[in-house]
Amino acid sequence: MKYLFLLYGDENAWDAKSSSEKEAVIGAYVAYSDALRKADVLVAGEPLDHSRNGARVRTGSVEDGPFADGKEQLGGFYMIDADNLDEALDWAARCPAAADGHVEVRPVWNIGG
Amino acid sequence: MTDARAIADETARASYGRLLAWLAARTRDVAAAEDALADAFRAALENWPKTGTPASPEAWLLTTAKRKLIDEARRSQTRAGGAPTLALAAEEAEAALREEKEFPDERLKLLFICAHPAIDPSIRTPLMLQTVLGLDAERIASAFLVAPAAMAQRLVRAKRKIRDAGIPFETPPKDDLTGRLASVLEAIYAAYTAGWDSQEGGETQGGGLSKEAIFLARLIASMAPETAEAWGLLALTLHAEARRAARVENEGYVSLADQNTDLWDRQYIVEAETALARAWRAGGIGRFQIEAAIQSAHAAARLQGRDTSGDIIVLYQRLMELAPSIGAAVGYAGALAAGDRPDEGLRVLDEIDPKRVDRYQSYWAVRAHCCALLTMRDQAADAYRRAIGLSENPGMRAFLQKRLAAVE
Amino acid sequence: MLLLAYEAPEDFALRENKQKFESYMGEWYAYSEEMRKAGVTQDGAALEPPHTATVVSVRNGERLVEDGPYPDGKEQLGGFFLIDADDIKSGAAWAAKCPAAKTGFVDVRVVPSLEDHAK
Repeated sequence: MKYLFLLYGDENAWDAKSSSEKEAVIGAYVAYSDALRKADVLVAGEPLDHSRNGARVRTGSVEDGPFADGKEQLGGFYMIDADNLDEALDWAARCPAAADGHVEVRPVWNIGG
Repeated sequence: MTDARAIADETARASYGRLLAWLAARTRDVAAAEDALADAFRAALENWPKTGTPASPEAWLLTTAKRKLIDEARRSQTRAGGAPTLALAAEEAEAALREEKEFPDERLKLLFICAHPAIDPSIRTPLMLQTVLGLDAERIASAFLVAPAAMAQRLVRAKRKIRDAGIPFETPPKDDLTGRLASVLEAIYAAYTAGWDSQEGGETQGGGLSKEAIFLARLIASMAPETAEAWGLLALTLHAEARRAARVENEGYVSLADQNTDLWDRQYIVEAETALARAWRAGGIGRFQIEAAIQSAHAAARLQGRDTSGDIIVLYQRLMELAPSIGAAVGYAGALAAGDRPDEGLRVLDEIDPKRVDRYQSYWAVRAHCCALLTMRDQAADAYRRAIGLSENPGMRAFLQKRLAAVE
Repeated sequence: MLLLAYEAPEDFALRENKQKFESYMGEWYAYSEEMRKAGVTQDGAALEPPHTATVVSVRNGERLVEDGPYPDGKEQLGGFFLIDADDIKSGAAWAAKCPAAKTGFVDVRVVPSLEDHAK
């Protein structure tokens, strides 16, 4: 089964980090991505730019980011292939975002069985 | 007809959870397995009076349910991956049943699924009661004091999550086992305390599901016999259950010290003590064992006339270290009061943030008792009034009103 | 550019509705087909409904697993598309055509390029 990990964190806390702190975080993500790849479970994954550079679209309206959704915003995603939810949760717990934010684990819909 | 019903009922009680666990483990779809099994039981009631009861009722039910599941999987064509595997596995199980071999019991996996961390904690106990014991949503809803429709909806949602999120039918790996077992035990204990106001009396009153909870506690102890806490939970629920008849007299609440011990169920007490001994032998201490030991000490005090108040204080101290909670603190304070140390009891209560106890009936009842023993009459009266105001049980209310009158 | 399609509870309910399932899916197929023909789609997936969500965090070395979704709101993520778009404006133009824009909303988020990363 494929699972999507949605990585939530405080964007402003990221902004406040020094460049060496940011490097450490990026290093942790590189290592995590590498571990997923070596275990042959990685399907896809991308970081996202600050939500202030994004937009929210409804029919007839476009609202510029950032969005007032709460303290944590979506900062990136991974898609992995795992046997079951327990295995997916093991991987989600290793994701650096789990340590200071939250990782939402959503099964990908296998349309038509 | 009545014979067929009796045999179907008996098979249901003995095998429902085992049949369901087996079917669900192979289809990963609890709701579909429940529907198929319900159909099979209905078919049994129709057919057995005409054709006679089959040699192996379980095998008959399994075959019928399996056929329904495969038909259903073919028809809907969604999530049908399990159909061929199911057919094959079912043949093996039926063969085993025909040869009267042990039918695989996978209820432990079912219990782990129900108490999985990805399942909302408040629905774990209802899920267990429904899947392992076959209780309907209405019965569960009334025990948990919620609307039947709401309970049914939450159960459906939880079963869909099990299916759609891919929660595995597996025994958790060793490094995860203790934590996962603890969730199972918590959920079973919640079945025992369902529907009674957990804040009254400081002692488990036993709700409408106490028999079912004890069934589950016996089940988990037999399936995870190396787990000390499983035996601890069994001992705790049995001790509480043993006193059920003595707890109420003329519709009034009777405190432990005043209960007529002739009304205590000795068989339950013996079984509780045996379970507690198994817990000690299994090794590893935990909250349920300590709470069971406290109840055991209470029983010894009344039945053998021993003064166990010192033991009880020590046990509460351990409980406070191991699993601190308001309930444990209130119990500890009560134990101190019973051991002629009400001043210390009051100090324990004073350490609790008052905001956290503005709905906690037994806090005020114990506080009132400590104050009364210290002849702090005004404070005692105040605390009694708050306890009375928070009481749900008329027997408890009357009991406290009598105490209040004594200090006024 | 990442397009995140947030659907309303009524949209998720259509997936379970035998009569309306086809028209619901038809809109999504037409939309993704249009993007495919324009050559902008890189990747995409639909998600199981929000009741299947689980939230993981780690605090003080302890793993916390909870029933999701996160955050708990009315509209929930139903799927995403990773597309090629020059700027946020053209991304928003694709988002406006998405079926989810009618009853829910679509977030357009920039996926930084490798050069941005280096900065």
